[in-house]
Amino acid sequence: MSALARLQDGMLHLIKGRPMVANDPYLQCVERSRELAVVREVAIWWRTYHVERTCFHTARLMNRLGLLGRAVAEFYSRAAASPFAEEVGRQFVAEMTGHSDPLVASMAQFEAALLKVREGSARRYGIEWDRNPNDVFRALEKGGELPESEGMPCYYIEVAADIPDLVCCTRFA
Amino acid sequence: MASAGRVITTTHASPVLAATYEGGDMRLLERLLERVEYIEITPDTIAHSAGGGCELDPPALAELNCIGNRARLLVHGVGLSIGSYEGCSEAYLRLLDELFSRFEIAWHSEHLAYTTVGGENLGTMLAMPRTDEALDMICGRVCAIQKRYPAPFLLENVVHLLPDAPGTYSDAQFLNQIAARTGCGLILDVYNMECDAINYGFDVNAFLGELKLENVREIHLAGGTAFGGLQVDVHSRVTAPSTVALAADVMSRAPQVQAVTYEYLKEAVPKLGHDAICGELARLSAELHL
Repeated sequence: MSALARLQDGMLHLIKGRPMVANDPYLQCVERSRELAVVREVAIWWRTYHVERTCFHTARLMNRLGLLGRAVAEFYSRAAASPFAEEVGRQFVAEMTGHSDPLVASMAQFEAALLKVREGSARRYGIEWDRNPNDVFRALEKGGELPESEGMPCYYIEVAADIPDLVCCTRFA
Repeated sequence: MASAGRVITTTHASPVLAATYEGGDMRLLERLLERVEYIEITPDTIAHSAGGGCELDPPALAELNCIGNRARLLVHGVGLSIGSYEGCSEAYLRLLDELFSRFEIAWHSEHLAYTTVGGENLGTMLAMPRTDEALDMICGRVCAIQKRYPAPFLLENVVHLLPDAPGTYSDAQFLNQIAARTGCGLILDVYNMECDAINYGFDVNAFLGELKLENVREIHLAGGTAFGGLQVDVHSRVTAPSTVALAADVMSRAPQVQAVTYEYLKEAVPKLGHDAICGELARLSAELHL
């Protein structure tokens, strides 16, 4: 590995906040610098900006739950994010579909489906919710309390191109 | 290495005004076209990912078609990552191929930096170490680019937000070497120089004294902001009087400058407003005699 490759690999680890393995005085100097934190913060700010614009609903919910900042920072550190803004949003929302909070996971699955259908997917997507999604959207829109979980999947949203307004919500019998 | 640079041909005897346009705002484009001779476009911002690669946005291409002969196009990249050890971005080069196949490009340019390592996007732009290894690699790539495209190629100085890596050359010597070996031109971003001066005391006068200013073909102007105690290169504002004064100083000493480009991010347009952007262009035109 050339000196340039070693340097750039080291910088990648530092910028992404990953554990350092190199014992290089320059990289150690950068690691200790106040500027590194600022560069990382600016990079994460841009990622957050793109996420908020591409997957608006998921970002708004996660912001409301105080989860967005940390999730984007972790996403930035871990993922090989695309240089294209809208792709960053798609990658992020795809990751959030497996979130441990069932409400965040449902919202991300819904938004990922919506993005795919708007881009021309002919598939039908089904997403289960453990609370009334209409109440969730209303609470996010108006700033009210988010509805409590009913403890089990009780609503089902379908997303498909042939549904009027692309979305249909039903309550399980 | 043989010099393979192309000469910028222009009908203008003195520098003229240019401005950024990142698509999606025809009203702004129409107003820009009344005020500038060149429109600077960034391929990365008018493209989207598609099928594992990327492609230019058809609406943005339609907008560029509307420009016709009212202005000439400058292509200014962000995503080439000319300094990445593993190679330049092939995806970016394909975007350039498409732009060159569709439009007459006056010249094109990129930042002397890297944005990708091992295929992974950094989410920021980092300055190159000024070593012989980096110099040889950059020069080889500049020559390849100049061979591939029928328009002059320029490289731009970037802001140094992180401590400099150990190297053999000063900033000016590194740029002089690249220009001498390849024949490429330079863009001087005077706002970036100001950021460096504010952040760590970069000696602008010494840099300009050492730089071969006859290689400078374009000047970039922008206004930014301080963040976390650093002046950062987020192009979100109108230019400060000190930035315009520095541009005037460079112009008085750089005889080959063809264009002065006011840069602002698309994301900053709603806050800046069309009137402020046009007002800024009028101010720059008057103060810099463009």
